[in-house]
Amino acid sequence: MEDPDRHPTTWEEVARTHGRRIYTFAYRLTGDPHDAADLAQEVLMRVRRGLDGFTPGSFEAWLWRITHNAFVDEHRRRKRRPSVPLPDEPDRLAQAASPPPDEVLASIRLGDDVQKALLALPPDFREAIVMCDVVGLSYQEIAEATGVPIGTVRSRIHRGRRQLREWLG
Amino acid sequence: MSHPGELLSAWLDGEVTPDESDLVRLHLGTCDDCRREIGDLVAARRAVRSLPMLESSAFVVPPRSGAAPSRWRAVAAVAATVAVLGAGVLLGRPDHVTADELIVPHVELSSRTQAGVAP
Repeated sequence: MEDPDRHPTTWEEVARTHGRRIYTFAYRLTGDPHDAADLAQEVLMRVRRGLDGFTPGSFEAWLWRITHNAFVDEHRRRKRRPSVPLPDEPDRLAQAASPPPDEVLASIRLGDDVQKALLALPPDFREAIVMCDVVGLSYQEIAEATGVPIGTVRSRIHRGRRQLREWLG
Repeated sequence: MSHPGELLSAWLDGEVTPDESDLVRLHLGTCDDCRREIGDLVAARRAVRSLPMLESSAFVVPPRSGAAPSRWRAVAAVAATVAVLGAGVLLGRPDHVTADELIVPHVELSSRTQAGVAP
C-alpha cells in the first residue's frame, strides 16, 4: 500500500504526477499555450533546484507555493514589458442582455468565454479561483501557497465568482 | 440579520465551520436575495470546473545533465506532435485533434474527471 506521506523524490516524478495540473494552472492563468509552457517549465526547473532541500511536510503546499511564486515573478516581468497587451475585457459578455437561466447555463459551458472571463479578473482573484476550482486545492492550501490569510482566499474566491457570473450571465 | 456575503462561496465549497454553516442555512431559509446569489455562485463555479484539463509537452523529461530550455522546447515541439497524433489514434477520435493543436503544445482532454482531478 502506498504511503500517503510519500512525496516525489525526483523532478521527473513531479513532472509525471503533477505536470498536467501545473500546465493547466499555467494555461488558465496566462491564456496562452506558449506562455503556459514557459511558466510550467519554469516551475519544474525550480522544483528541480529545490527538491533536494525539501523537508518533510506538505509536498502539495510546497509545490504550489513554487508555482505561485513563478506566476508572480512572470506577472511582474510582463508588467515591466508594456508591449504585451493586457487581456481584453469581455465587453461582449458584459454588455449582453441577461438571458434566461437555461441559456446562461448553456452559454457558460463554452470554454472560450469562461477562459476570457478568467483572464479579465484581477490576477489574485484568477489565481485563487483556478487553484480552487481547476487544481482542486483547499482554501488552507491556497492560503499557504499564496502566502495570505485564509480569509483573503475566501474573499478572492467569492468576489471572483461574482464577477465571473456578472460577465458570463 | 445581515447577509452572509462571502461566506456563501465558502459554504458552497464546504470551507466553513459548523456554526457558520448553520448561520448560512438559517439565512438562506429567509432571504430570497441570498438564494439567488447562491444560484449565481453555483453557475460561476460550474463554469470554471467545466474547463477541461490540458495536456502539454512541456513536461518532456530532459536528461539528468540538464539541457537548455530552448533545447527542451525543440524536443517538446516534436513530442507534442507525436503525442497529439498518438492520442488521436489511441482514442479513435482523430476529429478531436485540430490543426492548431498540432502547432501549439497542448491538447485539451475531455473532462476533469478523466484527468483524475477530484470534482
